[in-house]
Amino acid sequence: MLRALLTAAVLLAAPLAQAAGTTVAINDYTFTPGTVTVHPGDMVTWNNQDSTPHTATSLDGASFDSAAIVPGGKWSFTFKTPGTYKYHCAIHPDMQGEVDVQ
Amino acid sequence: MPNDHDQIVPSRRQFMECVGWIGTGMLWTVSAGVPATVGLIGSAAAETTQADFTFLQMSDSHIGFKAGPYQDVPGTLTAAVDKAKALPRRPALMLHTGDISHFSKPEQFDTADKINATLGLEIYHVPGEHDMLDPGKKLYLSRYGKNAKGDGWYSFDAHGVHFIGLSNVTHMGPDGQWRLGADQVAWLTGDLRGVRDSTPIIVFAHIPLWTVYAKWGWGTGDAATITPLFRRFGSVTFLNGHIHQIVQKVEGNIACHTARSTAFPQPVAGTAPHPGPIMTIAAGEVGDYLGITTATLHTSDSRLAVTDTSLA
Repeated sequence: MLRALLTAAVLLAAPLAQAAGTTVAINDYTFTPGTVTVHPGDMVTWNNQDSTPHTATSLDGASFDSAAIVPGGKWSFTFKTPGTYKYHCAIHPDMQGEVDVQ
Repeated sequence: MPNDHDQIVPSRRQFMECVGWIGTGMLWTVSAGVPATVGLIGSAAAETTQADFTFLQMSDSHIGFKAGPYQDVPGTLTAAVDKAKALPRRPALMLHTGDISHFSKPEQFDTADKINATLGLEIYHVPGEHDMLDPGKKLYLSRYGKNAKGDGWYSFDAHGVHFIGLSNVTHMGPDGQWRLGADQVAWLTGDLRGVRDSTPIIVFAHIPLWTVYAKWGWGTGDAATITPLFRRFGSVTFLNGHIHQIVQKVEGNIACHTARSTAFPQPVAGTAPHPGPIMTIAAGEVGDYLGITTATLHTSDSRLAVTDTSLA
């Protein structure tokens, strides 16, 4: 019985893990789009297409920090809590973006 | 007990100028923050005597970067090293002001080390932010930070100069400015306590220790906390990298100088949408924008003459 419940729980959880994905391209020292709007549980992926490493680092210093994403590299984060998350590149602070979770 | 500050500083202050040969072969003097051309390269060479002490600054080699006209970054580093080998006077040591690598990969550090080693000089490193991109920021410190504290700061004495290497690439404030951090400032305060006022001080760090352009993060937000520590000294020079171009400034008794990169140039502050490499240079003209810095300490007056040489 316990095993069956666990299996059911895994099956129920699976669709959540595959929640809608949004991609932010990093190119020419710019996050594109600069602002993305997602729902709680959605995953945002940053795709570095530039020639230099960049990061996606929340300005609140706590919510998320990709560390360096090398050129050709990607980094994903799942936003669980509604809110407005402003972020920048911690190497090039003039690169700024926003994730709105609602 | 003699007071170095009273006896020596006023006479040396008048020599507080930062002299550089720009790649065009012109001699510049920067006095009270205002740069002025004063002569050709030969006139500066005549000032050098055998008693003077010369060292080399190399910066921003970015091994691993490859884009646009910058297809051979190890090649331009090698050209810079060859320029240094051809200097009429062999430098006593080399300071590297960071961004040895582009992605903090072991093989990138290996390539740079192999090329730099051909100089046969003692090399003193400080980290650039591109050298500390690995998780835990351990690779740089394991290779270059054996005698360093914290995130890579240390000091040493050579030829009568007190050299201080600082690390300002691991913390960025919410204002987008890099930070030295309280630990490092406390260490520096203690380090300087035992240094005489008359000792020339050379501080080297990757990010400029003054704000060149806040919008692009070209500055150290808490540098103002360390400048008072240097006021009692007669000769203080800050040597930095990061911005891949020569900017000089004199503030009080502190002469500030940034070096060119051996890899790629960056735009003058605020003249481009972002601080990325200038991509519009013809491949054959890249050497005009890259270079090395040598500095001579004139033993007669503790003045530091800083010389930039282009790779062209």
